Amino acid sequence: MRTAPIDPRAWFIWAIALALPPLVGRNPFPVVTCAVVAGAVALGYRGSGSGWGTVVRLAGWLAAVGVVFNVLTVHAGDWVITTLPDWLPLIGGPLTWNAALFGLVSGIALMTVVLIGVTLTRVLDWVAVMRMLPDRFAGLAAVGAIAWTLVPQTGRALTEIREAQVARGYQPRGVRDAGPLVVPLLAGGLERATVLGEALEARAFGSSATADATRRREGFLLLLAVTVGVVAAYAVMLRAVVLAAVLLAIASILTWLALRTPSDGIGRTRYRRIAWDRRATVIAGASAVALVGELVVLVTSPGAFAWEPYPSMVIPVANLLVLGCIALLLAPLAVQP
Amino acid sequence: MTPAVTFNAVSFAYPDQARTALEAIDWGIAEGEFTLLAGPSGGGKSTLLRCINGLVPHFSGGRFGGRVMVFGQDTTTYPPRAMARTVGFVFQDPEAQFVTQRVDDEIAFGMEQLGVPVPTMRKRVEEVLDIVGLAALREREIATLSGGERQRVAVAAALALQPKVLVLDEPTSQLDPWGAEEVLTALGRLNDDLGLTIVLAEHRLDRVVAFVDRMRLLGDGGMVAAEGTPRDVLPLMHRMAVPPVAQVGLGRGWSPLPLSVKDGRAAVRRDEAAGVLIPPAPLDAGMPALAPVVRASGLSAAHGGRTVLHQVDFEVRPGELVALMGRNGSGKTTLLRSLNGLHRVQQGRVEVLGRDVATTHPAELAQVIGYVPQNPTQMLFAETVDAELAFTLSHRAGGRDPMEVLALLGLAEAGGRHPRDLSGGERERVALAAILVGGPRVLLLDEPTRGMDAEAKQRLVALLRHLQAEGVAIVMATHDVELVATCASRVVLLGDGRVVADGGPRATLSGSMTFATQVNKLYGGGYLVPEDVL
Repeated sequence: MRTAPIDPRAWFIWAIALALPPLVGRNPFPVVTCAVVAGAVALGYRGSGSGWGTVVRLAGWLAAVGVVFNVLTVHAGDWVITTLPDWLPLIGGPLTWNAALFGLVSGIALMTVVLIGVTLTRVLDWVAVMRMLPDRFAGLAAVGAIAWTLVPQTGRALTEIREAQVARGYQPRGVRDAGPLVVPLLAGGLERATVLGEALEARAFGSSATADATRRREGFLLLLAVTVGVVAAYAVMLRAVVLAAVLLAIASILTWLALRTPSDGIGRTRYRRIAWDRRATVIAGASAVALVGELVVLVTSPGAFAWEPYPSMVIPVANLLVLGCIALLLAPLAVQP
Repeated sequence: MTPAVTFNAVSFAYPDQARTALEAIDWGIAEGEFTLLAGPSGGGKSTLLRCINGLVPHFSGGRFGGRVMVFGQDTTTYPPRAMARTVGFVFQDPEAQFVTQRVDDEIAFGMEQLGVPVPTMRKRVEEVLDIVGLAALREREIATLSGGERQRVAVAAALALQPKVLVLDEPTSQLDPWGAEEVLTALGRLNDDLGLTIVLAEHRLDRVVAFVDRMRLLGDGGMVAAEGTPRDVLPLMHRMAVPPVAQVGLGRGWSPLPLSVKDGRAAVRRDEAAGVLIPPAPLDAGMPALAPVVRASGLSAAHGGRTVLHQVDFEVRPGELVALMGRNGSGKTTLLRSLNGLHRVQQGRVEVLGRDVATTHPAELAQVIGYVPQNPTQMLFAETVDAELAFTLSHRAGGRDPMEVLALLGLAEAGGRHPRDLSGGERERVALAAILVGGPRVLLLDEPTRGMDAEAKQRLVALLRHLQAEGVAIVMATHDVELVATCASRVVLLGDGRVVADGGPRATLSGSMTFATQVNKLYGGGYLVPEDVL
């Protein structure tokens, strides 16, 4: 019998706290620490979710390409590796260690976010997420759950297609040769989506859907709430705390207005709900503390997350509070089965 | 008897298709009946089934005429989600229809959508788990179940909504014989004990005819070519499509016509008592005295951290057709993939025509060894069938004449068509043509008859014999014992990654509790196919 899943809300708080440093800045200390934490937790929960290997490899490849691209195209910085002739378009000029290091940190940030996503895929019970959401978001949650499972499925399909084509004598030599891989991948994906759509219809999915007019009104209010929320987040980054608080209050009211109308479709029922247990408390508690710590530092000392190696190389700031907060995000390993 | 489903002048064409998929369908299915729809691929079976719960036309779009009534509900008025309480639907591929990861969650999913109260939901989950014999697996992850168990989960999920009609579209086509038996036994119980109306489309008649009350043989456009009990309809069908036990019954004039091995045994006993003689059992042909073109020695390979092949020694000679058989997970696919370098071996050595597979790139090996995977349509990408074959030839020094290959596979008219516009069976043949046009001297086939109708299977057998005569060495992983008995020159049985038997089909399959053909179960000895006893 498998171990009972942990409440998805705890994992969401953990993911937000861990994704924040690589998303808001390029300071190598928090970014690398986040990468180590994400890698450790991903390894700790590697029991399931096969098929993501291709996604991780692809992200690694993109990160490596990013480093090379940065070095070749960003000709700023004072630590010069070598200089390419100016007549070379785009890449002509000095190649610098500044650009290489910044590209490397950006690549690590990308890998960190991918690893967080992989871990969520392995640990999240998407059915629990679907059940947790109000009826009006059931469709959204189902689409999210299906899309999330499609990523590893697509990874597996790509491997199978590549093997089938190689066994046919095909050796891709560049992007222009991608047709034999991409076309069957897309066609197969569409065929799978059609069958799944039929299966969902045949099993009464969507019976709880609300009428179109109600849905349009809700959608408008929610879109407005999200927009105001994004502006509020920008205000936080600018340290305009009062403005941010007012905007967040407005976003909350708009969300409440959107959700207060009862659904006019069939009310869904829930077969089972995940119990909030000690493991969820540990993960959510540690992650909430880490998130609050990160936000406080972000408002009071944004340099703790930022690093700008141009035009001159500078040593990044190591903020121990931030690093400590990130270390707290190893909490899932403490409650791992 | 009350009609459960009635088709009134139903006609249908898919969007952007001039040809009608269904043409003036006018018949009904009685309540409590177990009905089988048989007939060639592309005859409209799946379309017809989708009319019963309204997926056609609500989901498919297209031009729909006439009326389908299911227990008084007009499917053009009610969308499939509303019909879900009346019609349960089970698709061909169990994996493609699951939304959740756990058995009980999957069964509860439909009920949650319909707002069934939680206590009722719990009771129904337990009931359907018992009905399909999955009670012990209620908390298991679906990904860890066998194919038969997964399809029974799909049946249970459909039953949980307490439908009056259960519709199944080739539910055993992706399953091994044991998985198929599990599913069909569960369906038989549902029909016998609960009186559930069941409508089933299936190609593998040998598996299903013993379970059904009524059979409809469909021709083009869903028109009924023959209708009645299986004993009425089977004599009207092409011989290749008739289950072997019924072929023997027809040949020997047995009445009533046997539909199962059990029925057939009674007739054999009657024949024996009457002193009816049968010809002596033929013998296996000897192995060709030629040097092997494929040689694997001490081969061990792992998959997902588990060793799936243990010290396998294996050889194939020119003109041989070797069938790899064994339960799912016994290592058949891994062995095939190890032979062309797609799967890296842990230990041992594989040589193909003198080339060491470990040190030769699979693309270079592809010059001499062709591999058709389980889902061959995923290799198709070109705009036309002709372009698909030209693509293979562009990676080869030589090759075969594309026209000849297409003709061999019954695709002579399809050269200018887009592969994705063809039926599933035709696409599989295009994929096979795309491999064969390269002129491989060794051909590896992984489950080539999955979902194939009788005619396509007959064409495949003819093609394999043609290739054997040309000296092509063929290795085929399959569960299809009747196909193996018809055309294999050698059978290798794998069990837990080890070779447990290797020899001629008569020596290997005869008397086997799991791999014997229907004819062998009737007569024993070295008898395998109906021709042996007729």
